[in-house]
Amino acid sequence: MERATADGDLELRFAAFADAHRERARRLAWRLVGGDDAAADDVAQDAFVRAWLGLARFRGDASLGTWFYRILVRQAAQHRRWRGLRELWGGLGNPDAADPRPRPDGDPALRARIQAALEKLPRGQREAFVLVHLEEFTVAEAAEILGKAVGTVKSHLHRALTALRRDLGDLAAEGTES
Amino acid sequence: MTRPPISHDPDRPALAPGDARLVARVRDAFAPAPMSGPERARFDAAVQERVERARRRRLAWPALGAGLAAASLAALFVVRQPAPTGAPPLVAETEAPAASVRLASAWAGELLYGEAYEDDGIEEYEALPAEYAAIAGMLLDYD
Repeated sequence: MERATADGDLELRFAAFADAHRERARRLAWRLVGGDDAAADDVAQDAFVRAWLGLARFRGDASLGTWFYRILVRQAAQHRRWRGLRELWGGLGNPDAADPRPRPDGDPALRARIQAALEKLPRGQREAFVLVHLEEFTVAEAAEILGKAVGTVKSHLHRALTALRRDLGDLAAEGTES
Repeated sequence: MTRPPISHDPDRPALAPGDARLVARVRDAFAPAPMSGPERARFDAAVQERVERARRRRLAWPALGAGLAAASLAALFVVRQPAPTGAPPLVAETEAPAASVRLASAWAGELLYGEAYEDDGIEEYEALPAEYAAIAGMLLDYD
């Protein structure tokens, strides 16, 4: 009985969490899969479903957020692997067609440049950079989400910034903010 | 959309001003359009639909497994049933052991003595003189 109540409480908490984190989850997925709207929807929805179905296995020793975003990051990585395979075998992937709902604001060329620069990063660096610098997780949270040591994440962040400075250095100049 | 520099946060790595500008530009330029109300509703409906589908699949697997197990047990039971009385035997009844021995000895005799030998050659054996019959008995193990 107590267990059922606890499970019910957890489901309510997760429903509230899903409502509050829908936008962030989709944005993180969008950034991790390289700016593809449909893929971002798919990855984020799949992460919510997996988390929902796996609530019974949630042990509570991580925060609900960390646990959920770990699932999402893995789903995004899996999507990228499958996409890589599809591109390898069938040439189905077309990075230029990955913007079916273009933003009314912003610079599409700049977005494409950033996407290309992020795609060049190794997976660990890209995930750490997106989590910490773009999604504003703390380094400790990112380390827990990625299942890596804090020092490793810091190293990834340093290397990612070095690479991005090389590819997107002009964005660091003063007076370039929009 | 400019956000406050993140280098003041103690939980984040400190960034040089140039890096902070770079990160802020990337953060602002590389983001999806916010979801509209109908998009949010579609998103939630899709999640709900996937959850239901996954639940149905989870329920279907044990039912399918139980059905397969029941079918296997039933098949095993049918195979292990004894044949009904009065039904023809599955295997032709074998000849009497004595007949088998006679056939075997006929084959051995033919091999030793050629076509002239017949199994009823016991009579021939018995017709031999006593000392030859004793030697033949030793060689051919006739008792």
